[in-house]
Amino acid sequence: MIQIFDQEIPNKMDELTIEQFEKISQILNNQDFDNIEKYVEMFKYLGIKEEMWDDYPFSEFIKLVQDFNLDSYTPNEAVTSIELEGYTYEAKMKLSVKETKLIEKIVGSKQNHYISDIMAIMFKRTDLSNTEHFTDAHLKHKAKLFRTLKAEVCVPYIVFVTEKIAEYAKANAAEGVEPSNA
Amino acid sequence: MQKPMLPKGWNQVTLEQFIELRQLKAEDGMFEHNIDILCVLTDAYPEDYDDLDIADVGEIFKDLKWLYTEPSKNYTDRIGKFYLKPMTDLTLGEFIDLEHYFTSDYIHYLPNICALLYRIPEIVEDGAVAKWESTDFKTSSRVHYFLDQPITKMYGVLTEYIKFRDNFITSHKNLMTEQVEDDLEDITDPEERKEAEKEKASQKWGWEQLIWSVCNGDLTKYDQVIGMKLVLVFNFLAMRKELEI
Repeated sequence: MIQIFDQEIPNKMDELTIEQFEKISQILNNQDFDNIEKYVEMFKYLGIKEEMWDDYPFSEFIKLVQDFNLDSYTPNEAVTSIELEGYTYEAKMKLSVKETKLIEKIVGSKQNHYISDIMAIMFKRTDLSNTEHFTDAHLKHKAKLFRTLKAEVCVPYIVFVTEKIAEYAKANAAEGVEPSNA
Repeated sequence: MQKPMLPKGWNQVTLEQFIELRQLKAEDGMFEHNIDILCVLTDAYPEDYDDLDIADVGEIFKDLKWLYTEPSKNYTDRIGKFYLKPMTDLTLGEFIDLEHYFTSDYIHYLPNICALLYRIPEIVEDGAVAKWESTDFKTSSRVHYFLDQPITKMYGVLTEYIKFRDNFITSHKNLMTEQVEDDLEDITDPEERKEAEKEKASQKWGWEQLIWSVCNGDLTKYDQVIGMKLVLVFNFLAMRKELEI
């Protein structure tokens, strides 16, 4: 946590929820904001009213931004089993074709909740079959539940998924059709 | 899931598969596109691959690098009972149909193009065609035969035809109408616009006008005209134009 005015603001992966992490990522990646606006907007989302900055020294503001970003986070071992609302959800560090296709769709459609959506794909409720697991309504419900978890849970999965897809893309990128020699 | 049986090169891909492959779009992402490719090559449903690991898909695609090369431009002169008709022997009617196929969607019409270019001979002497079939046929009734053939048997014919077409159009440039831009709204000058509208209408009915002119307005000669050799028709048209007759 960092102290801003009289408030404690979460800035570490074990303090932020997945929902907050998603929203912050969304704000910081918003091209409509300049660099200052991005952080004003982010702090506003975390509870600091915009007008509080009116008389605040700029150099101090920059210092706060630096403090906020200072979290040198080292990902923990992946949590592979989670209990939520009386059900057990389990995940494996494996990506099937079905999962990859769904993730590719999520990333391609630039949804706001892409992290929780990816978590919902990776974690399967142990009492349900694969068919139920991949239904739209169930995935949406699960994503909503996962948003309440701490962001540190999602990091190993996001790293894994990103690495796997990047590896795949690098190895299989089509470089245009080469003409035949014949 | 067992590793699927995959073709090892274009010679093991049928024309039908080739068309399907070329018509696939990567709009839903590269990965989904790759699974669609696998489905085409193995005649499977996307769901059949759902449980496969992404790493295994990567391995499969290592053996499919040839997909990103163009099929060989060689071609065979004979596919089953069909012989390749020399392009210079094409009739006006065949050329008009080929123009339609090439300008509409040549990938979609590949089997129809093959059905027009590969024909059944009536008389073969010493392995060469002495007389081509004279009865009418519908290309659509023959497409299924070509769809099952390896793409390498006829892919080169396309480039060969395009070369012939380009040469033909260049050498008869003075008989071809210039392309009028699609959006006539952009032309502000009323005179210019009127002229362009006239040109456009003339383009729309280009082939009909040509046949009408060769028939001298006698439409009962339509079948005779479209059955005439393309080169002959255009040579006569060139002569008429030059001599203004």
